[in-house]
Amino acid sequence: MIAVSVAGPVNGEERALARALGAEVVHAPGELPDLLRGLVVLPAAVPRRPFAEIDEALWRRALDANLTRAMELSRAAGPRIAACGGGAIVLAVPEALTEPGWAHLAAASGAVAMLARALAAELAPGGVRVNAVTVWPGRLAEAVPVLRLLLSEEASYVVGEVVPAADDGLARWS
Amino acid sequence: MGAADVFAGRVALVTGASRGIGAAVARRLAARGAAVAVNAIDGAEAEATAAELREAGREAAAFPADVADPAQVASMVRAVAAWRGPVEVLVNNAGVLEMTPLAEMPPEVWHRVVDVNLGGTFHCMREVVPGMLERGFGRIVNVASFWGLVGVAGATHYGASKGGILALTRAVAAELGPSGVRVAAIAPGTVDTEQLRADAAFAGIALEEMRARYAADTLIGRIATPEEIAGLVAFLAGEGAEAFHGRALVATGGRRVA
Repeated sequence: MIAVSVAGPVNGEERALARALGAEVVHAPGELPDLLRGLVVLPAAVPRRPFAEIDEALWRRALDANLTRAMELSRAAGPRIAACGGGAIVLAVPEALTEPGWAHLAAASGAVAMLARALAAELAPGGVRVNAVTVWPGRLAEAVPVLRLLLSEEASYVVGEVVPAADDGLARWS
Repeated sequence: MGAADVFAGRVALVTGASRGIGAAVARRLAARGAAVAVNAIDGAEAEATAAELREAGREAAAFPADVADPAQVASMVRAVAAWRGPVEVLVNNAGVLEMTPLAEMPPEVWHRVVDVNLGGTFHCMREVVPGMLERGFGRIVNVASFWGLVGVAGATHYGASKGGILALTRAVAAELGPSGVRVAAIAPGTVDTEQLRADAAFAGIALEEMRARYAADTLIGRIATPEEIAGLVAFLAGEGAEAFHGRALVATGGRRVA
């Protein structure tokens, strides 16, 4: 089974993404099934706020809901996927966070991407490929083909990379 | 797949397709219904791959040319159009490498590697892009290399040419914009091709030791098969890869240093 983790109550596009991947939606590590071949962790939304106004609580929320959550889910999923003969973990982070007001989410997302690289090294011997992808919040449907690729054996040689799953404007179709 | 496959009935030109990654790409695109123009510098070798594809029931023909020579590229692209129609899918795969330390590198060696790898990619795109823009459809995949992102001793010319392909891909994508003509790159790590023999000779070690050394550089402990890379090239040339317009898919089996 493939699991898609969402941070809060599942919204319409998250549900559509899970359906397109033939995946179940999970909220917490405890909901992951034993028979697991793939995990996609979607980013958690946090309010945009100027850096000077980000208080301790919001900073921690951005880190906990993204970085700590990705760590806990990966820690639970890794052994399960390895026990099933291998598979993939994909940690999604938002694209293009170098706009004012996103320092907390940018820092958390950078850490998630680096977590993917580090986990790739630890989980590779168990046949678990770990990558990060960049997505546009609000345009998750565009990420489906790349997520499908990374979850599949077609991507057997793609390991520990930060892969774009959303175009950055160059290829925008009308 | 099936009737809806984006490659079905398309004309695909694959350079350097007599062996290695190029031959695997030619097989993959042909199996998905493309008419494949098989390019190699050696006519007999190009014909061998084309004949293999035809024997498997695919549509293929050989188009020998040295991609470093713009005149040969122009006549090759004209010949493909006369054969089966204008090129709709282009895979710039032709590449050469002769491991040479910088201090000992004759300028001719530098120029040959840059002229084939980077120049060939430019010449082929230059020939097919105008027609692709007219028709509003085109798919280009440029085969770069992980060695275009990291420094490898003995491969200054190769690394520069492959890094150049990554920048070229980015700039061409900016020019093409949302025209319906897409260009992407792939940056593979070490692939099990004949190049390994030359690398082993340069390192002064046996082929198997070279393979093991490269494998030890990866997280998954093995080098790639040409078929693995061909599958990713097909993804980049297919539907749903808009995210890679101007970008590179890096496929290394896991880097030991990020």
